[in-house]
Amino acid sequence: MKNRNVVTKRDILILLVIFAGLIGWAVITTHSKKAAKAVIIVHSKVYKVVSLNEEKTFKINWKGKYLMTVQVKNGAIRAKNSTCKNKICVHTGWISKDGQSIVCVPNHIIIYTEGAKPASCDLMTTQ
Amino acid sequence: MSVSKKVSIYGMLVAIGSAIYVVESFMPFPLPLPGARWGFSNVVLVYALPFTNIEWLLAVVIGKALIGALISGKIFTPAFFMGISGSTIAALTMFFSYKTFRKAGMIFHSVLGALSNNVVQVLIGAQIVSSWMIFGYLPYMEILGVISGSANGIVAGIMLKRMKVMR
Amino acid sequence: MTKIKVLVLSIFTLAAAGVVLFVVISKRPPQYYVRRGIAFGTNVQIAYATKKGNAKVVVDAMFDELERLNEIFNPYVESSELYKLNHSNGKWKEVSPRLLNVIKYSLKFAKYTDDAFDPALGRVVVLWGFNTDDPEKWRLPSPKEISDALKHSGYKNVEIDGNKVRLLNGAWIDLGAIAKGYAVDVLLKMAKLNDPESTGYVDIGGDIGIIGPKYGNKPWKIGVRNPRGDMNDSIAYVYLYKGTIATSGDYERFIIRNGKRYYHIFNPRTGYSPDNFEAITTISTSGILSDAFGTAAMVGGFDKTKKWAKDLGTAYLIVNEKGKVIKSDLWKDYEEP
Repeated sequence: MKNRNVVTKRDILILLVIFAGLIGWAVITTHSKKAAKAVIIVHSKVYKVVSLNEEKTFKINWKGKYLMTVQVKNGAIRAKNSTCKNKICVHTGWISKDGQSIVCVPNHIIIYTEGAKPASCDLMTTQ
Repeated sequence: MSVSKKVSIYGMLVAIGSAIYVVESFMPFPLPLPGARWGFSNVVLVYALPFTNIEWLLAVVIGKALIGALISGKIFTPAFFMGISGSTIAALTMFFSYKTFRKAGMIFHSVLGALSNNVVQVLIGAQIVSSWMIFGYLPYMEILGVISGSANGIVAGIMLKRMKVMR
Repeated sequence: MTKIKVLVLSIFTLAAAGVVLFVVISKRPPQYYVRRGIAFGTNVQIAYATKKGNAKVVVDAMFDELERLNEIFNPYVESSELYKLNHSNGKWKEVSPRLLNVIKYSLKFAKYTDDAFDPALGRVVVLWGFNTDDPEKWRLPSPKEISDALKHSGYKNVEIDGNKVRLLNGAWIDLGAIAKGYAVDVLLKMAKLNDPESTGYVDIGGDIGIIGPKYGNKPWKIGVRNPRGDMNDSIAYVYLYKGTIATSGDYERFIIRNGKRYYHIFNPRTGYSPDNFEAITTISTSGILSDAFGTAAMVGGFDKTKKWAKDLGTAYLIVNEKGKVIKSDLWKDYEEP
């Protein structure tokens, strides 16, 4: 132990490299865009996360029961069909902007987008 | 080193560490990560590196976290667990770094310890908030780690040079 | 060695100072913990950021609170307190302080609005079927059925004595026009109790309350839904740092019979839905007021709405029966960030 240095030239070099790397990392994470995706929540649990860049149609089943058909296309997602009676989810139509959501209260389904282009507002007031 | 000398030295380290721990909890932390802290109290761990063995080092970690948290009234809060696990990892990292990289200076080991300390703080923070979003803070936490680690390394290194107690 | 030491110390001091500055200047805004869920019979979204304790714990507690509120205010589940009150056969019944407060508020508001607002129209709501989510159960009753239901309705049948309530004439209380707004107030209070400096919002089925400005200094931008457009089609935007906003409209629970639209809000005098506005959005400091105001305004019409708004200090945006948008002067203050 006797003659360990406080700091050597090599230490400075290493630390500067680490430091520069970290600053670069911070800058990149702050400015990078996240991939647009949709999160589907059924009965308070995350059921599925889908990328909005693919094109597909699939069914949501819960405990063996069919609840909803979801379609993803051109960076947007919609409830194409649903077993609920009021069909508010289906009438919501396509959503593609960040934080927008499709909600089906009777079937306990929430679909929302994340990492997409920002919506024109944070929230909507509705009846 | 005699046992009485050992006890008094490590007792002193725990006391200083706890004091810094308490003072530190009043220091503003630039990131909105609940419970995260600078980690300046780890300076006593850096100071102990040249003469300690791993058991005594971990004893200092637990001692300063317990007493510091007791005094500042933060015992068994998320901040307490963040502190104690962060310090433990930092102690282990620094200890092995010190044994392995014989040519490196104190500042190097100290920064390595601070970096690992902050990774753990973020990990535990993410657990507490149950959100992986917190990881966006990791690079910033590590930048702060380089600062506090360098400060600890320089302070402890200079102290070791000036004070010949251990030689 | 000493030269190097000085050099190192100065480099790191500079670097440290620089980085602290960098971090402080680019100080990252607080991260919001956002939870979406279905509670209180509707779509709920809460965003919360606090430096005191754990945002998730607070938000989870808010959702639990909504469950408890639902157990009080939902008149159409048999376990709820309001259901039991409605089915107490005209006897005096002790009620919880929360239910009592909301009933008192609704009676006061009914008197204030000259009967435009009425919390005791449960019989009428059930007759039309608008108490359910199921459009197949929504129907146009016969005039005879409506006049019968009206005989068993009206807030004058609600009597209060201390903490006891009695419903005369078989009247049923339905607080649907006010309960969401009340829930917004309760959750806002919870958030502020945990941390007065905390920020975020609560959105209970389109009734929104602001906990605090976005990132501590920016307003939340809120869109007003086009009553004849789809869910994300806005006709106006407002910027809120605080306060509450709520909308009443004719576009979610409605039927069209013989070319005429009937929906879930009723004129207490006729038992039919009014046709003054397509929708009204109200901004005020209290969620319960914003919520109740809209319903009263739909019934009361434009002149009364204007008078009440001036009196109560609320801001409003009306889409009238012809689809024309009317904004109050106070509303325009909220249109700039």
